Amino acid sequence: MRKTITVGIAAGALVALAGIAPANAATDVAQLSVLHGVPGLTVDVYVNGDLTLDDFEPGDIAGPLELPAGTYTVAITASDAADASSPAIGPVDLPLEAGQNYTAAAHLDEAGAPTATLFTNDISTVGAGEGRLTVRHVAAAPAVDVLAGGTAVITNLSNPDESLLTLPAGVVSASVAATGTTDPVIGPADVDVVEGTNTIVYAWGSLTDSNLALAVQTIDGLHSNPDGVPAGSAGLVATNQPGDSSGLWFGGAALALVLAISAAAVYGTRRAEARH
Amino acid sequence: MVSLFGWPPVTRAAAGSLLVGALTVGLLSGCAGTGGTDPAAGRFTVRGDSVAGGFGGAEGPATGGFPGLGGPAAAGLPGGPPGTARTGQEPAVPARVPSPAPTPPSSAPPVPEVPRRSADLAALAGPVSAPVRVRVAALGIDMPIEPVGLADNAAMALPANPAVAAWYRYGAGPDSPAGATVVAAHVDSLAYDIGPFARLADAPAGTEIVLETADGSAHRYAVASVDSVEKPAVPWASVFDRAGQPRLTLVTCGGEFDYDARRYLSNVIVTAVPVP
Repeated sequence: MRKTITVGIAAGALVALAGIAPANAATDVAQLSVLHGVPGLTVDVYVNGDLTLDDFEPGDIAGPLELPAGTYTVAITASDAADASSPAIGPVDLPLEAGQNYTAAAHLDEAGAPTATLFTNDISTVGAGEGRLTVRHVAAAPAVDVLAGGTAVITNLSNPDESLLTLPAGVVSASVAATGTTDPVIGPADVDVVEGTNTIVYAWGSLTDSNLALAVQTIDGLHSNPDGVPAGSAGLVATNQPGDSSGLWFGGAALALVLAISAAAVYGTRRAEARH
Repeated sequence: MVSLFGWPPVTRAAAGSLLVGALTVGLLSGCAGTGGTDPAAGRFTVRGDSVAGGFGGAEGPATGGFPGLGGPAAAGLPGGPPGTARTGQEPAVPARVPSPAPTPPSSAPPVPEVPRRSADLAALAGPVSAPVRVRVAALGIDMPIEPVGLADNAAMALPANPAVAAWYRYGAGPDSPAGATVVAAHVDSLAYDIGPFARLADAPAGTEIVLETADGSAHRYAVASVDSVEKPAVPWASVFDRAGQPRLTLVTCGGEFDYDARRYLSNVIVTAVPVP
């Protein structure tokens, strides 16, 4: 069976594993999500000239789409455009590799002009009990620090960069401040760093327009599992007797013999003392 | 024996006390700890050589089931040179049949349905409702359940008391649309005696199990299988599966006991399926 599976992988036929592999584990396609992070602008999204997202609202996320690997041309237009010929953003070419997971974000650059950025999402597994936190700066704002519980955990993050942390799963009280400061421009907000999940938080909007906000995207199925359930320590329901595993038990049996002899010796000594 | 009796009485008594003391400490520490009860038990990872064929995706310590993701193969070139992907390819969910949508005003091609949602923090799904009680009337089992994570050794953490069960809180819950709700308990302990889960090994197929969740609702399951699996061969990725059909997996220990390491050599794994 193992041999069969190995051959299957070599042939690119992962069907045998489909039963246990998460949906986003397919390796012959790319996953693409699209985030709309341009405030106040409802748009249409064209992929390779075809209308794919109609009336896409700011603060919304679409997808994931499963796409064959290749390069896709994306154009973002005002929502009343008849076609992709006069885009507000783009057209941009998105090279998508098989097995990878992407988010294309339409957002403002630091100066406030609409732009688009293709992010590659980290979908490697995390340890059991851990979650991944990705923070992306896609706002019209200078470099920022991200604070968790008042302490800077990410510093000097600039548009359109990202920073990744692996954390014990749990809720983080996060806020965003201009780098080097602690006075929040966003938050604090409770961000649930879910176990086995890449929680991707976007700081988007515009500082000058006072509409900075957080958007969040999650990619699950990145978990590891406990490697055991040690659920018994007394042997009270064992199907074997202590003597059955003679090799293991020999030392214990010898010990018991010594104990018995010692006890007998002590008893004998005390009897002898009592007779005096 | 003759030579032992030659010991001076004081020495004999001291040696006996020391041995008794050491043995007592060893036994007590062996049953009182949670993760430390049988330290070797948590060390088994599901590795390729010991994995049955059906679990080929669980190779290696990271059992997340992502064969090849992010690896060299996944980083290969896209399916063709830039631009070729455009020819004849529908970009978004090409296989999806458009639903009978309202007739567009023009003769424009139908827009594919791409799932979209608000990326607002508040739009994230909340945590699943925790199971708080497990009852198996036919076996006289009625136990509280505590949510647990991991012990220090990457094994699932369990309460020391075998009369208290544990739910792996990072995995599925009874309300989850997919995956195994994992509830485990010690089978025994020298401090607490034999636990209720000792009776699981004899559960006939069809035995009803009821999980009560924190919201007060009852979830009913029927035993589908009871397996005793030697620990190195337990497919943990399957036991803790977060995809696949919703089900309940009860885990405890059983089989032969290593009286030296004070650990059972097998896990008893009960799989139960939801009943309406």
